[in-house]
Amino acid sequence: MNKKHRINPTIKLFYGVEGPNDKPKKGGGLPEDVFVSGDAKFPYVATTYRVSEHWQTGVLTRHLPWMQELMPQQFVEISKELAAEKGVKNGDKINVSSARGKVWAIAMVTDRFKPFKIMNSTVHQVGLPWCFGWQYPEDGSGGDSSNLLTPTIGDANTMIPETKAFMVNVEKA
Amino acid sequence: MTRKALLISPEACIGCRGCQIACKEWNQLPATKTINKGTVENPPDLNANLYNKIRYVELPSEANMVRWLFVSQRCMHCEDAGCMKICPAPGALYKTKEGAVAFNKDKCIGCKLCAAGCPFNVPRFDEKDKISKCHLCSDRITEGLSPACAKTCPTGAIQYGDRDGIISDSKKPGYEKLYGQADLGGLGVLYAFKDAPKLYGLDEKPAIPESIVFWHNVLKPLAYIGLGGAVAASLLHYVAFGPKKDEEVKKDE
Repeated sequence: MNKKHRINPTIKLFYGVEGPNDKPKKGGGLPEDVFVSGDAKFPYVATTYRVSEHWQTGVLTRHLPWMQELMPQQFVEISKELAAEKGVKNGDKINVSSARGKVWAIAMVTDRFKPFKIMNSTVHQVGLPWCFGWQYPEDGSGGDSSNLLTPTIGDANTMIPETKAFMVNVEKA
Repeated sequence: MTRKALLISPEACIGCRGCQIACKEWNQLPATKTINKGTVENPPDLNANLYNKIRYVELPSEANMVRWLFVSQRCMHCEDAGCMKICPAPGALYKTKEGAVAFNKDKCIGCKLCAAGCPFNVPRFDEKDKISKCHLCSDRITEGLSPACAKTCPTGAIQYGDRDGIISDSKKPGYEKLYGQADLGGLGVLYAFKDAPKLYGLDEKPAIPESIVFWHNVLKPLAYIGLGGAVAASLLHYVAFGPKKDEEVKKDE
Protein backbone atom coordinates (compact mmCIF):
# COMPACT_ATOMS: atom_id res chain seq x y z
CA MET A 1 0.00 0.00 0.00
CA ASN A 2 1.10 3.50 -0.73
CA LYS A 3 2.24 5.15 2.48
CA LYS A 4 0.52 8.37 1.47
CA HIS A 5 -2.78 6.64 1.86
CA ARG A 6 -3.64 6.47 5.53
CA ILE A 7 -7.24 5.58 4.72
CA ASN A 8 -9.09 3.94 1.86
CA PRO A 9 -8.18 6.10 -1.17
CA THR A 10 -11.53 5.59 -2.82
CA ILE A 11 -13.51 6.80 0.18
CA LYS A 12 -15.60 9.94 -0.09
CA LEU A 13 -14.01 12.79 1.87
CA PHE A 14 -16.43 15.60 2.49
CA TYR A 15 -13.76 18.28 3.13
CA GLY A 16 -10.24 18.33 1.70
CA VAL A 17 -6.92 18.68 3.55
CA GLU A 18 -3.33 17.79 2.76
CA GLY A 19 -1.54 18.15 6.13
CA PRO A 20 -2.55 17.59 9.75
CA ASN A 21 -2.67 21.34 10.43
CA ASP A 22 -4.53 22.32 7.26
CA LYS A 23 -7.91 23.95 7.39
CA PRO A 24 -10.65 21.83 5.77
CA LYS A 25 -11.37 22.50 2.13
CA LYS A 26 -13.83 21.16 -0.38
CA GLY A 27 -13.39 17.56 -1.54
CA GLY A 28 -11.38 16.13 1.37
CA GLY A 29 -11.70 15.15 5.04
CA LEU A 30 -11.13 16.77 8.41
CA PRO A 31 -7.60 16.22 9.81
CA GLU A 32 -8.97 14.07 12.63
CA ASP A 33 -10.69 11.84 10.10
CA VAL A 34 -7.74 11.43 7.74
CA PHE A 35 -4.57 11.65 9.82
CA VAL A 36 -5.68 10.00 13.05
CA SER A 37 -6.79 6.82 11.33
CA GLY A 38 -4.18 4.18 12.06
CA ASP A 39 -2.75 6.32 14.89
CA ALA A 40 -1.34 4.46 17.89
CA LYS A 41 -3.54 6.60 20.18
CA PHE A 42 -6.61 4.83 18.81
CA PRO A 43 -5.64 1.18 18.37
CA TYR A 44 -9.02 -0.57 18.41
CA VAL A 45 -11.59 -1.01 15.69
CA ALA A 46 -15.07 0.06 16.71
CA THR A 47 -18.44 -0.57 15.18
CA THR A 48 -21.89 0.75 16.00
CA TYR A 49 -25.31 -0.81 15.95
CA ARG A 50 -28.88 -0.57 17.20
CA VAL A 51 -30.71 -2.61 19.81
CA SER A 52 -34.19 -4.00 19.26
CA GLU A 53 -35.48 -2.16 22.34
CA HIS A 54 -34.89 1.32 20.93
CA TRP A 55 -35.87 2.85 17.61
CA GLN A 56 -32.92 4.47 15.78
CA THR A 57 -31.31 7.05 18.10
CA GLY A 58 -33.87 6.15 20.76
CA VAL A 59 -35.47 9.60 20.74
CA LEU A 60 -38.89 8.01 20.15
CA THR A 61 -38.45 5.15 22.63
CA ARG A 62 -36.21 6.37 25.43
CA HIS A 63 -39.07 8.16 27.17
CA LEU A 64 -41.03 4.89 27.41
CA PRO A 65 -40.37 3.48 30.90
CA TRP A 66 -40.82 -0.14 29.76
CA MET A 67 -38.15 0.27 27.09
CA GLN A 68 -35.86 2.09 29.50
CA GLU A 69 -36.23 -0.78 31.93
CA LEU A 70 -34.98 -3.25 29.32
CA MET A 71 -32.16 -1.16 27.92
CA PRO A 72 -31.28 1.62 30.36
CA GLN A 73 -27.70 2.61 29.60
CA GLN A 74 -25.05 2.94 26.92
CA PHE A 75 -22.88 -0.16 26.80
CA VAL A 76 -19.80 -1.32 24.93
CA GLU A 77 -19.22 -4.95 24.08
CA ILE A 78 -15.58 -6.00 24.35
CA SER A 79 -13.82 -9.33 24.09
CA LYS A 80 -12.57 -11.21 27.14
CA GLU A 81 -9.04 -10.86 25.79
CA LEU A 82 -9.19 -7.07 25.55
CA ALA A 83 -10.90 -6.85 28.94
CA ALA A 84 -8.08 -8.83 30.53
CA GLU A 85 -5.51 -6.61 28.82
CA LYS A 86 -7.21 -3.46 30.10
CA GLY A 87 -8.15 -4.82 33.54
CA VAL A 88 -11.83 -4.22 32.83
CA LYS A 89 -14.48 -6.32 34.53
CA ASN A 90 -18.02 -6.98 33.32
CA GLY A 91 -20.24 -4.05 34.31
CA ASP A 92 -17.39 -1.55 34.77
CA LYS A 93 -17.84 1.96 33.45
CA ILE A 94 -15.29 2.64 30.73
CA ASN A 95 -14.46 5.49 28.37
CA VAL A 96 -14.45 5.01 24.62
CA SER A 97 -12.70 7.81 22.74
CA SER A 98 -11.91 8.59 19.13
CA ALA A 99 -10.24 11.57 17.50
CA ARG A 100 -13.66 13.19 17.40
CA GLY A 101 -15.04 12.63 20.86
CA LYS A 102 -15.46 10.57 23.97
CA VAL A 103 -18.38 8.69 25.53
CA TRP A 104 -18.67 6.54 28.63
CA ALA A 105 -20.29 3.13 28.46
CA ILE A 106 -20.86 0.07 30.63
CA ALA A 107 -18.52 -2.76 29.65
CA MET A 108 -20.10 -6.02 28.54
CA VAL A 109 -17.29 -8.54 28.53
CA THR A 110 -18.37 -11.27 26.17
CA ASP A 111 -17.44 -14.14 23.85
CA ARG A 112 -19.54 -12.49 21.17
CA PHE A 113 -16.51 -10.33 20.31
CA LYS A 114 -13.26 -12.04 19.43
CA PRO A 115 -9.92 -10.44 18.53
CA PHE A 116 -8.99 -10.63 14.84
CA LYS A 117 -5.66 -11.96 13.61
CA ILE A 118 -4.70 -9.57 10.80
CA MET A 119 -1.26 -9.80 9.14
CA ASN A 120 0.17 -11.57 12.20
CA SER A 121 -0.98 -8.95 14.65
CA THR A 122 -3.94 -9.05 17.00
CA VAL A 123 -6.59 -6.44 16.33
CA HIS A 124 -9.32 -5.93 18.89
CA GLN A 125 -12.82 -4.87 18.00
CA VAL A 126 -15.38 -3.19 20.24
CA GLY A 127 -19.02 -2.46 19.52
CA LEU A 128 -21.47 0.01 20.98
CA PRO A 129 -25.02 1.16 20.15
CA TRP A 130 -25.98 4.69 19.24
CA CYS A 131 -29.47 4.73 20.75
CA PHE A 132 -28.66 6.90 23.78
CA GLY A 133 -28.11 10.60 24.31
CA TRP A 134 -30.26 13.68 24.20
CA GLN A 135 -33.00 14.37 26.78
CA TYR A 136 -34.04 10.90 28.04
CA PRO A 137 -33.55 9.49 30.62
CA GLU A 138 -33.97 12.85 32.28
CA ASP A 139 -31.35 12.24 34.98
CA GLY A 140 -28.69 11.67 32.31
CA SER A 141 -28.01 8.11 33.48
CA GLY A 142 -28.30 6.75 29.94
CA GLY A 143 -25.04 8.09 28.57
CA ASP A 144 -24.28 9.56 25.16
CA SER A 145 -24.63 8.37 21.60
CA SER A 146 -21.70 6.62 19.97
CA ASN A 147 -22.33 8.93 17.00
CA LEU A 148 -20.08 11.37 18.87
CA LEU A 149 -17.17 9.09 17.92
CA THR A 150 -17.84 8.39 14.25
CA PRO A 151 -15.95 10.08 11.37
CA THR A 152 -17.59 12.16 8.65
CA ILE A 153 -16.40 10.03 5.78
CA GLY A 154 -18.56 8.63 2.99
CA ASP A 155 -18.44 4.97 2.03
CA ALA A 156 -16.57 4.52 -1.28
CA ASN A 157 -19.50 2.90 -3.06
CA THR A 158 -22.58 4.48 -1.62
CA MET A 159 -21.35 7.69 0.09
CA ILE A 160 -23.29 6.63 3.18
CA PRO A 161 -21.43 8.08 6.20
CA GLU A 162 -19.01 5.41 7.39
CA THR A 163 -20.21 4.86 10.96
CA LYS A 164 -19.66 1.12 11.08
CA ALA A 165 -15.86 0.97 11.12
CA PHE A 166 -13.59 3.49 12.83
CA MET A 167 -10.73 3.64 15.32
CA VAL A 168 -11.10 4.20 19.06
CA ASN A 169 -9.32 3.81 22.34
CA VAL A 170 -10.81 2.14 25.40
CA GLU A 171 -9.81 2.88 28.97
CA LYS A 172 -11.19 2.52 32.47
CA ALA A 173 -13.26 5.53 33.52
CA MET B 1 -62.15 -28.19 29.60
CA THR B 2 -58.85 -29.62 28.37
CA ARG B 3 -55.74 -28.51 30.11
CA LYS B 4 -53.91 -25.70 28.31
CA ALA B 5 -50.16 -25.14 28.26
CA LEU B 6 -47.35 -23.01 26.89
CA LEU B 7 -44.53 -24.52 24.89
CA ILE B 8 -41.29 -22.54 25.12
CA SER B 9 -38.52 -23.24 22.60
CA PRO B 10 -35.37 -21.29 23.60
CA GLU B 11 -33.69 -22.33 20.35
CA ALA B 12 -36.34 -20.40 18.39
CA CYS B 13 -36.18 -17.33 20.64
CA ILE B 14 -34.40 -14.24 19.28
CA GLY B 15 -34.31 -12.45 22.63
CA CYS B 16 -36.45 -9.49 21.54
CA ARG B 17 -38.29 -9.52 24.89
CA GLY B 18 -41.59 -8.61 23.27
CA CYS B 19 -43.20 -11.11 25.66
CA GLN B 20 -41.75 -9.34 28.67
CA ILE B 21 -43.36 -6.08 27.59
CA ALA B 22 -46.62 -7.61 26.31
CA CYS B 23 -47.02 -9.16 29.75
CA LYS B 24 -46.54 -5.79 31.42
CA GLU B 25 -48.93 -4.18 28.99
CA TRP B 26 -51.78 -6.66 29.53
CA ASN B 27 -51.32 -6.80 33.29
CA GLN B 28 -50.76 -3.02 33.53
CA LEU B 29 -47.51 -3.31 35.44
CA PRO B 30 -45.25 -0.26 35.82
CA ALA B 31 -41.57 -0.24 34.87
CA THR B 32 -38.79 -0.33 37.43
CA LYS B 33 -35.70 1.85 37.23
CA THR B 34 -32.77 -0.30 36.17
CA ILE B 35 -29.10 0.06 35.31
CA ASN B 36 -26.93 -1.94 32.96
CA LYS B 37 -24.88 -4.47 34.91
CA GLY B 38 -22.83 -5.79 32.03
CA THR B 39 -25.61 -7.91 30.55
CA VAL B 40 -28.59 -7.42 28.28
CA GLU B 41 -30.74 -9.19 30.88
CA ASN B 42 -32.84 -6.58 32.65
CA PRO B 43 -34.41 -6.27 35.23
CA PRO B 44 -32.00 -8.61 37.03
CA ASP B 45 -34.74 -10.73 38.60
CA LEU B 46 -38.49 -11.32 38.60
CA ASN B 47 -40.31 -8.79 40.77
CA ALA B 48 -43.85 -7.84 41.75
CA ASN B 49 -44.17 -5.94 38.47
CA LEU B 50 -42.44 -8.51 36.29
CA TYR B 51 -44.20 -11.84 35.78
CA ASN B 52 -42.12 -13.05 32.84
CA LYS B 53 -38.43 -12.47 32.31
CA ILE B 54 -36.03 -13.62 29.62
CA ARG B 55 -32.88 -15.10 31.08
CA TYR B 56 -29.78 -14.72 28.88
CA VAL B 57 -27.27 -17.55 29.06
CA GLU B 58 -24.04 -17.30 27.12
CA LEU B 59 -22.34 -20.65 26.59
CA PRO B 60 -19.06 -21.57 24.96
CA SER B 61 -19.73 -23.67 21.88
CA GLU B 62 -17.55 -25.65 19.51
CA ALA B 63 -19.79 -25.35 16.48
CA ASN B 64 -20.37 -21.61 16.79
CA MET B 65 -18.30 -18.71 18.05
CA VAL B 66 -20.90 -18.20 20.72
CA ARG B 67 -24.05 -19.89 21.90
CA TRP B 68 -26.55 -17.52 23.45
CA LEU B 69 -29.69 -18.98 24.98
CA PHE B 70 -32.81 -17.01 25.84
CA VAL B 71 -35.08 -18.70 28.35
CA SER B 72 -38.41 -17.39 29.57
CA GLN B 73 -38.53 -17.52 33.36
CA ARG B 74 -41.98 -17.49 34.98
CA CYS B 75 -44.59 -19.51 36.91
CA MET B 76 -44.73 -23.07 35.55
CA HIS B 77 -48.38 -23.72 36.49
CA CYS B 78 -47.61 -27.11 38.06
CA GLU B 79 -50.38 -29.68 38.26
CA ASP B 80 -49.11 -30.56 41.73
CA ALA B 81 -48.44 -26.98 42.83
CA GLY B 82 -46.33 -26.50 45.98
CA CYS B 83 -47.61 -22.96 46.48
CA MET B 84 -51.23 -24.12 46.56
CA LYS B 85 -50.33 -26.96 48.90
CA ILE B 86 -48.91 -24.70 51.55
CA CYS B 87 -51.17 -21.64 51.10
CA PRO B 88 -53.28 -21.24 54.25
CA ALA B 89 -55.67 -18.66 52.77
CA PRO B 90 -58.53 -20.31 50.86
CA GLY B 91 -58.99 -18.80 47.40
CA ALA B 92 -55.76 -16.79 47.39
CA LEU B 93 -54.24 -19.26 44.94
CA TYR B 94 -56.57 -21.26 42.74
CA LYS B 95 -56.60 -23.42 39.64
CA THR B 96 -58.56 -22.21 36.65
CA LYS B 97 -60.37 -24.75 34.51
CA GLU B 98 -57.57 -24.38 31.93
CA GLY B 99 -55.04 -25.55 34.52
CA ALA B 100 -53.46 -22.17 35.26
CA VAL B 101 -52.44 -21.36 38.84
CA ALA B 102 -54.01 -17.94 39.31
CA PHE B 103 -54.13 -15.69 42.37
CA ASN B 104 -56.55 -13.36 44.09
CA LYS B 105 -54.80 -10.49 45.84
CA ASP B 106 -57.90 -9.70 47.93
CA LYS B 107 -57.73 -13.12 49.58
CA CYS B 108 -53.94 -13.26 49.96
CA ILE B 109 -52.87 -12.72 53.57
CA GLY B 110 -49.23 -11.96 52.72
CA CYS B 111 -47.68 -14.81 54.70
CA LYS B 112 -45.24 -15.59 51.83
CA LEU B 113 -45.40 -19.34 52.48
CA CYS B 114 -45.96 -19.94 48.75
CA ALA B 115 -42.41 -18.71 48.05
CA ALA B 116 -41.13 -21.50 50.27
CA GLY B 117 -43.32 -24.06 48.52
CA CYS B 118 -42.28 -23.11 44.99
CA PRO B 119 -39.58 -25.29 43.38
CA PHE B 120 -38.88 -22.62 40.75
CA ASN B 121 -38.49 -19.54 42.99
CA VAL B 122 -41.32 -17.69 41.27
CA PRO B 123 -43.68 -15.93 43.74
CA ARG B 124 -42.87 -12.26 44.32
CA PHE B 125 -44.68 -9.83 46.60
CA ASP B 126 -45.87 -6.29 46.03
CA GLU B 127 -45.58 -3.37 48.46
CA LYS B 128 -48.58 -4.73 50.43
CA ASP B 129 -46.90 -8.19 50.58
CA LYS B 130 -49.53 -9.67 48.25
CA ILE B 131 -48.52 -12.40 45.81
CA SER B 132 -47.63 -11.40 42.23
CA LYS B 133 -46.75 -13.89 39.51
CA CYS B 134 -47.65 -15.12 36.05
CA HIS B 135 -51.25 -16.36 35.98
CA LEU B 136 -51.14 -17.52 32.34
CA CYS B 137 -53.27 -14.46 31.52
CA SER B 138 -56.20 -16.26 33.19
CA ASP B 139 -58.45 -13.33 32.25
CA ARG B 140 -57.58 -13.82 28.57
CA ILE B 141 -57.62 -17.60 28.33
CA THR B 142 -61.10 -17.92 29.87
CA GLU B 143 -62.29 -15.83 26.90
CA GLY B 144 -60.53 -18.14 24.44
CA LEU B 145 -57.61 -15.78 23.78
CA SER B 146 -53.98 -16.80 24.02
CA PRO B 147 -51.77 -15.31 26.76
CA ALA B 148 -50.21 -11.94 25.91
CA CYS B 149 -46.68 -13.38 25.68
CA ALA B 150 -47.67 -16.12 23.22
CA LYS B 151 -49.76 -13.66 21.23
CA THR B 152 -46.86 -11.23 20.75
CA CYS B 153 -44.03 -13.73 20.16
CA PRO B 154 -42.83 -13.16 16.55
CA THR B 155 -40.93 -16.44 16.13
CA GLY B 156 -43.26 -18.95 17.77
CA ALA B 157 -40.80 -19.52 20.60
CA ILE B 158 -43.80 -19.28 22.96
CA GLN B 159 -46.75 -21.33 21.77
CA TYR B 160 -50.07 -21.77 23.49
CA GLY B 161 -52.60 -24.54 23.07
CA ASP B 162 -54.08 -27.76 24.39
CA ARG B 163 -51.46 -29.46 26.51
CA ASP B 164 -51.77 -32.84 24.80
CA GLY B 165 -51.61 -31.31 21.33
CA ILE B 166 -48.55 -29.26 22.24
CA ILE B 167 -46.75 -32.32 23.56
CA SER B 168 -47.36 -34.36 20.42
CA ASP B 169 -46.49 -31.40 18.12
CA SER B 170 -43.21 -30.69 19.90
CA LYS B 171 -41.67 -34.11 19.32
CA LYS B 172 -39.21 -33.21 16.60
CA PRO B 173 -35.73 -34.63 15.98
CA GLY B 174 -33.36 -33.16 18.56
CA TYR B 175 -36.20 -32.21 20.89
CA GLU B 176 -37.36 -35.62 22.06
CA LYS B 177 -37.24 -34.73 25.73
CA LEU B 178 -39.75 -32.17 26.85
CA TYR B 179 -38.99 -30.46 30.12
CA GLY B 180 -41.92 -30.55 32.49
CA GLN B 181 -43.93 -33.24 30.75
CA ALA B 182 -44.06 -35.42 33.85
CA ASP B 183 -42.46 -33.31 36.61
CA LEU B 184 -44.71 -32.23 39.49
CA GLY B 185 -47.70 -33.94 37.95
CA GLY B 186 -46.97 -32.21 34.64
CA LEU B 187 -46.11 -28.52 34.23
CA GLY B 188 -48.34 -26.06 32.43
CA VAL B 189 -45.24 -24.47 30.89
CA LEU B 190 -43.23 -26.94 28.82
CA TYR B 191 -39.72 -26.38 27.52
CA ALA B 192 -38.28 -27.93 24.35
CA PHE B 193 -34.63 -28.13 25.37
CA LYS B 194 -31.86 -29.41 23.14
CA ASP B 195 -29.45 -29.93 26.03
CA ALA B 196 -29.50 -30.55 29.76
CA PRO B 197 -31.99 -28.28 31.56
CA LYS B 198 -29.15 -27.11 33.80
CA LEU B 199 -27.60 -25.19 30.89
CA TYR B 200 -30.84 -23.25 30.54
CA GLY B 201 -30.87 -22.42 34.25
CA LEU B 202 -33.49 -24.96 35.36
CA ASP B 203 -33.31 -27.86 37.79
CA GLU B 204 -32.95 -31.33 36.32
CA LYS B 205 -35.54 -32.75 38.71
CA PRO B 206 -37.73 -30.01 40.14
CA ALA B 207 -39.44 -31.02 43.37
CA ILE B 208 -41.47 -29.38 46.09
CA PRO B 209 -39.33 -29.02 49.26
CA GLU B 210 -39.85 -32.05 51.52
CA SER B 211 -40.75 -29.91 54.51
CA ILE B 212 -43.72 -28.58 52.51
CA VAL B 213 -44.88 -32.07 51.60
CA PHE B 214 -44.54 -33.06 55.26
CA TRP B 215 -46.48 -29.98 56.33
CA HIS B 216 -49.27 -30.62 53.88
CA ASN B 217 -49.61 -34.40 54.16
CA VAL B 218 -48.82 -34.99 57.84
CA LEU B 219 -48.85 -31.89 60.01
CA LYS B 220 -51.90 -30.19 58.53
CA PRO B 221 -54.21 -33.26 58.94
CA LEU B 222 -52.74 -33.76 62.41
CA ALA B 223 -53.58 -30.16 63.27
CA TYR B 224 -57.16 -30.71 62.13
CA ILE B 225 -57.34 -33.89 64.22
CA GLY B 226 -55.94 -31.95 67.16
CA LEU B 227 -58.45 -29.15 66.65
CA GLY B 228 -61.35 -31.59 66.36
CA GLY B 229 -60.06 -33.48 69.40
CA ALA B 230 -59.95 -30.33 71.49
CA VAL B 231 -63.52 -29.45 70.54
CA ALA B 232 -64.70 -33.03 71.22
CA ALA B 233 -62.91 -33.13 74.57
CA SER B 234 -64.47 -29.86 75.71
CA LEU B 235 -67.92 -31.09 74.63
CA LEU B 236 -67.37 -34.30 76.53
CA HIS B 237 -66.31 -32.34 79.57
CA TYR B 238 -69.46 -30.21 79.33
CA VAL B 239 -71.68 -33.27 79.15
CA ALA B 240 -69.90 -35.11 81.95
CA PHE B 241 -69.31 -32.26 84.40
CA GLY B 242 -71.66 -29.51 83.27
CA PRO B 243 -70.74 -25.84 82.74
CA LYS B 244 -67.97 -24.31 84.78
CA LYS B 245 -69.25 -22.29 87.73
CA ASP B 246 -67.33 -19.26 88.87
CA GLU B 247 -67.27 -19.71 92.64
CA GLU B 248 -65.10 -16.68 93.39
CA VAL B 249 -67.66 -14.32 91.88
CA LYS B 250 -70.49 -15.96 93.82
CA LYS B 251 -68.71 -15.40 97.13
CA ASP B 252 -68.35 -11.69 96.38
CA GLU B 253 -72.09 -11.39 95.83
